[in-house]
Amino acid sequence: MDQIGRSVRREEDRRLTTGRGRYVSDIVEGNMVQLAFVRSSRAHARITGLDFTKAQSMPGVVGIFGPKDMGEAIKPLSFGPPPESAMEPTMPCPLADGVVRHVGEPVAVVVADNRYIAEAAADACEVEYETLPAVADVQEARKNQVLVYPERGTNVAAVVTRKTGDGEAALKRAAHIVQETFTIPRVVGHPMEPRAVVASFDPVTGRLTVEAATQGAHTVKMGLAAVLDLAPEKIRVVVPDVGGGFGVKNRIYSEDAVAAWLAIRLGRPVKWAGDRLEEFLATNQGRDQVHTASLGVDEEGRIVALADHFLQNVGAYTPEPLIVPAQTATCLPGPYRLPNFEATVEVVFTHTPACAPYRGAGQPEATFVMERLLDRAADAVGIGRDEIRRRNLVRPEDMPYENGIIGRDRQPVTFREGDFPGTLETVVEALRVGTSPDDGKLRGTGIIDFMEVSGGVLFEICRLELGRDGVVSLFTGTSSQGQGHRTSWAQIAADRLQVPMDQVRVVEADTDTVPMGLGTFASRSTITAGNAIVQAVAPFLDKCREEVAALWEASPEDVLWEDGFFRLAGVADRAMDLRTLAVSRPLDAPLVEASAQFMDANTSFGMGCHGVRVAVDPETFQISIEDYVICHDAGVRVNPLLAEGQVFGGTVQGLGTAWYEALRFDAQGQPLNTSFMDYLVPGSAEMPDFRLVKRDFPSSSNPEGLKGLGEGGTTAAGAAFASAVEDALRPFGVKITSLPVTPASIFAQVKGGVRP
Amino acid sequence: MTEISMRVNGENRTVNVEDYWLLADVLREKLGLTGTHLGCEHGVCGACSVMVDGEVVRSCLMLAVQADGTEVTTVEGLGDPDHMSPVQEGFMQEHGLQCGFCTPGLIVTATHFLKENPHPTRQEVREALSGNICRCTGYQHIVNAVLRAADEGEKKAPSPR
Amino acid sequence: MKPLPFRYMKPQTLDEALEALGSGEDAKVLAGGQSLVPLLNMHLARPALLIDVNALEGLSTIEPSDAGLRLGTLVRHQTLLTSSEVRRAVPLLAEAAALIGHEAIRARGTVGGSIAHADPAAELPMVAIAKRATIGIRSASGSRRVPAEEFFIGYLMTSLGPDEIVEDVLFPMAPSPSGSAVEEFSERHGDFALVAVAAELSLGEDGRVARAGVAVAGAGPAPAAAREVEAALIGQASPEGVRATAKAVAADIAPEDDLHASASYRKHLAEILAARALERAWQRAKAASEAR
Repeated sequence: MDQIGRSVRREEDRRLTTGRGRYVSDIVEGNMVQLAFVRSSRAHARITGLDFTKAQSMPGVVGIFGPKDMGEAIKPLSFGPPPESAMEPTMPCPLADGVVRHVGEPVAVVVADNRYIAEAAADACEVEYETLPAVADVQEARKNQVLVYPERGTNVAAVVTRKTGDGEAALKRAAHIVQETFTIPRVVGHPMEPRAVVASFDPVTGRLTVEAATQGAHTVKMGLAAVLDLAPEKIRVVVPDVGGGFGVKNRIYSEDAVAAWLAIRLGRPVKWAGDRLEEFLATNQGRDQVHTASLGVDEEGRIVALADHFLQNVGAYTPEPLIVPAQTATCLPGPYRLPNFEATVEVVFTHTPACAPYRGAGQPEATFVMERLLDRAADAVGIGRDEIRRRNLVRPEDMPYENGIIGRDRQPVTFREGDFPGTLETVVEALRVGTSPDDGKLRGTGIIDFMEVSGGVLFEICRLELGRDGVVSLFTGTSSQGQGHRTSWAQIAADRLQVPMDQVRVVEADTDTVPMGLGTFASRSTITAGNAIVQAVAPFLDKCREEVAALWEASPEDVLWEDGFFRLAGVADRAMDLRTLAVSRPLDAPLVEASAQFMDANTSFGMGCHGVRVAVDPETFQISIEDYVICHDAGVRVNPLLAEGQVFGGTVQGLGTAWYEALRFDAQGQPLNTSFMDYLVPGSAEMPDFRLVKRDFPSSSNPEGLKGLGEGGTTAAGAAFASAVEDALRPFGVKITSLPVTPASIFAQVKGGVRP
Repeated sequence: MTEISMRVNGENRTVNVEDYWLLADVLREKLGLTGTHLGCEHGVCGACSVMVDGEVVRSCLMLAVQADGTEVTTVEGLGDPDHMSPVQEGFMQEHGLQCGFCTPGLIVTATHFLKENPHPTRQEVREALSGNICRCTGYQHIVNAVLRAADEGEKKAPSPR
Repeated sequence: MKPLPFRYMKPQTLDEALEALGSGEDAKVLAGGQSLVPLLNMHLARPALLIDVNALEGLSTIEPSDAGLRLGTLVRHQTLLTSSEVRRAVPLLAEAAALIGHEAIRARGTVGGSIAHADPAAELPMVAIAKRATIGIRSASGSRRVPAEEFFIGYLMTSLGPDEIVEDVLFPMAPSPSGSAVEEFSERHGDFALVAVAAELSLGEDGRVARAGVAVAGAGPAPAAAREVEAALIGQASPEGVRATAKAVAADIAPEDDLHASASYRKHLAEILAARALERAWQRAKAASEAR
């Protein structure tokens, strides 16, 4: 039975809806201790003293450890090989080694019987600081008056350039040039489950077992091996249920290293379950770019050139230094025909938490800049905002279309399939339906295009193993944080093995089951694991054929595989399915297993379009979304319902950045809104019901035609929302150049709220 | 330490607690009911929602000692994997959850809401759930799930276990 | 984050509670806990002793009388929404209570707790000001009543002494015919207001505004009575006239710039919301007058 393309419901939901999930913070082990970290209250300071006297004597405190106690383990964490090698990661030590570089950096750790005692003791630890000057704002930091790493002599960590055609110089050939400065602020990813880790050490085997809320089991394993000087095979990382990731759980963190070190040191299971404040202070954040960009178009609105100089605030530590800025630079041209392009980004250190990949990872920023410029250019030329896009989108007849930029797969960015103008038309048409009441509100629409870049990042391994009960176990290194991989991977395997879904058991993110895995990020898992699963099926069935041949005393070449049955060529009544094979094999028969490694050498591109209609109260500037249409090329949809969930969820996260979210810092680097009372995220009452229009084009970049789709919603929403709100506010002449678009920010532009 | 007694999901539970422990932590750590999650510990995200004497409360904003003598229902008490409640079933069928971390709080809130308002509109559902943050789904499938459960409730009255 | 250790007591009588409160120990009163417990969890409140008043008898009463509607300190927000008594006597309270947080918050949060916490953006302190309510206060040494305007003195600051407890709030009845309305602006459903305005108008025999109570929340360190607006309202006899008085609200408030909004935006919102609240209050008063 065909399994791919069905909206199969997720089996884990029986557990997750009834409170039977197993998240890291739920794990209880005998003799377990819990951690709380003493965190820096300064953005930049030298630590001149640590006094644990008072805290140490509190009942229930097992011990308190500072960097000196950790000895050799105090060295910068290692992330592993960064895909962009132009710059080495700059990573923190597990506990700050003398200098703290952002508020919230771990300074010491309390081990106690429970988290209450640990927090109270951490509160009682005294840290003596010599406060140093700090800088949080990227434009301030670029002036190099306060240095994050004085030994570097500059806060500019790297400069990245992308150029095609004549680059910026071509602007002078344009009939119209629109230029703007755009700001996308610092935002916090906020998976609902804060980060957490449980580590335990078995003195008998000398192995460390770590259960972590992470997107990359092997990433954590390799990172721990490096910082603790352990052989990788001495470490097993297992990922239980994970409560969201969105990119920010895709690295080793200080807390992982400290928990693992303590598990070995104390010989007791150690749990650190972080809280919301720690998510605000000590987890990777995202965005934080300032662009000065110019778009030149000819008399008809056809793009002549795009030039962009931008700053990327990477915070004090950069686990993946250039991924985000390089991706922004690469994605700026979007799905358009763009002959001349030049982007230069300066990557800048500041005294703030790491700013690294967060859902979209540079794509939302690029899309916001490009789509805003197109809106401006349409106004300058005097054509509609949809018309300017119609005139510039890559057309089917242009494909394969190379835009001249080298992408993250180190290949030229190439659009091989799709009907971009058709997708745009579909959304334009859909958005025309529906009327608005005559209630005095201002209305506007935004229609924007985007390109979802998916996969193109290294490989995954899939191993298939036939169990004695006939169940096929599927092992891979990806890691679901809500995407429903267990269901989707089982669908792919069951489809190709021609077995019922419950005959496939998916085990992912356990480092003992596959030798290597990259994990789940960059909208790569369905492509990379999906193709690896398919490619493992053939050798697996070959092995099975040999086993069947042995049972039948036939030659393997005479065993055929048809419709879920092995058949003997020329013998009508000899047939055997996988389950029968499994139970028929003698007990001493060797394990039937096979694996495949799929190298995702070519990035897949999925073009999409968001159309949104908003209403704005002309007095208060309260915004409401009245209609929201999405068309998002997802290639082959393995599970359409789960795919839809990714698109809707991603779009709402994008609307968070568009409408509410910004983490603010004062001039001393103190974050100002570190609670859900002051940092708003989208709630159910304001979010729209999306209308999804499907136009899918299987990817030509991988054998199964798969595409990622987890990030496109986030990528598109900010540009679409800003465009619609600006359109509604035409009577006021409001120009939207920064996110989030709040009623207060609109008021600041209209000054007084009186329609001119 | 104070000894408290609660009727939790239909069972009498007596436990010694520190006065300053939150109800959420006592449920999770002393009673093993880890379905109740802590997402913010300042009363905004709603992941820790449970019913106390029939009303939905934030268990991160209630001390465990305050729950002495009450009847507490957590997500575990609304159904189990083999006997899911209409709301739990609705979440599964409509893909109303992704990571599942916020889900227990939403299911408790939605269950209580449907008791008060068995035939809600979409916007009423959206407003009733507005105190529960979900970062994964975008809410649309959650609203579908609650409306599906409401339809099921019309067919047969839900029987809370 | 989780609370730091404290001692907890749950007195059975008010006297017992007041004695503990007056003992000199660093104590806090725990009612619904919806404002206090977040502060405990964030280690922003660090009391040595927590006095849980939820077991005290007689503090959850809703008593209408000639003097007005008396709400015991432990009346829950959700009760304000569902009580027909409240809706009849002080509809402004029912309308405002619907805007307080979410049901899980309203189920626990109390009238006295909200009044004593004195968040400048909170609904009930604003209604107390608009209604010229009086706060009944008790300590071991006696009791006193304080007008709401003297009670709220600054950001999260009240005239409540460390040994005192809010016992009740008395909301005077508006002379009929009257009408009231609340308008609130918040970014998301259930959030604290950026700015909110509560208004109540009573009409005289001549159909003109004879008495007005208007208050603004979220536009200064404490909820403010809009005295200039109130004065301008007297004698107004048309929706346009009533609306126009909202312009005077700027003189009644002193917001400051903060993370969420500029002072000028808050002033702007106060004026818009006042106009809307006043117009609706006027229409309701008019309808009440015509129904007589």
